Amino acid sequence: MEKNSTPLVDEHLQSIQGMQEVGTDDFFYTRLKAKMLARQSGDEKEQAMKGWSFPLKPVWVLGTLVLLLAVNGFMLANQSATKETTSTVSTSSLQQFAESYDQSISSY
Amino acid sequence: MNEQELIQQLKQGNEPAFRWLVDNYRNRVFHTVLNILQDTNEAEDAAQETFIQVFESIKNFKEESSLSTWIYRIAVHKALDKIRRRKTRQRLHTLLPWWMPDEKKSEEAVFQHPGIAAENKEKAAILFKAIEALPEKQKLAFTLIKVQGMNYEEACEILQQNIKAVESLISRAKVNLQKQLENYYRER
Repeated sequence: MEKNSTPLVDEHLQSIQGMQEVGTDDFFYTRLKAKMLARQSGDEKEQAMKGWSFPLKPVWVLGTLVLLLAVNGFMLANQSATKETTSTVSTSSLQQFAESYDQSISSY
Repeated sequence: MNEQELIQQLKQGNEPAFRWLVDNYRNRVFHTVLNILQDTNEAEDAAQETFIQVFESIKNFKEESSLSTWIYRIAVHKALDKIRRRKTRQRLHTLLPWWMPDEKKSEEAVFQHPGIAAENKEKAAILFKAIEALPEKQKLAFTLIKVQGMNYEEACEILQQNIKAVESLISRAKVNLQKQLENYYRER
């Protein structure tokens, strides 16, 4: 005889034997009709707003935010790199200028 | 009214026919989506969405299956949509917990099926929690056949799978559930 490999499952399935069918209340159709009407008027509004609705969708808002943050980060990184280069360049040119007068910038 | 007449009247947009359909199927549809979703509010919403879809798509119904199978198929798809959206919300909650604080409560909620006798509620809740963690297809097949008590033939038509595939899903679901239940009782 084959051994039952899922005894716990079978035991728990016993607990749902004789489960009663759960239905909705008598006002289900009324709520359904209200939803259908609301959707119909919503569709009409949506048609009118179609041109505006897409930039307001969360995916677009989040996407724009991420893009702005990325551009900001890039600009900041770029700016600090430029600053370093500028300061190196300006220090060396100042040094050169000082040397041409037989001086050193450290003496200032 | 036979099924053919009902379909014809629905295709013509006859409201009494639509009401008759809703009144005759609402409880079965609600019960099915409730078993899949394990949430009364979401089940009500999915049942409503099902009938709206029926109303809007009846013109495209090719009568390749029975009307009830077609309605059940729509209901199962609506329930799946809700599960997918719920998973997306849960993932978002993991990433941004301050954004959707209510999501944590829904993750931790224990489903008490209203159709189950009081003395069996605790065991049933443990089983439903384990079913909730199953992969999507296994969950659907197991719920329709083992929880809802649907026959294999009908479930195959609704899931659009052959009998071997559904049997395999049930068998894998049972193995997974057994492991989950063993873990549950070990950790308790």
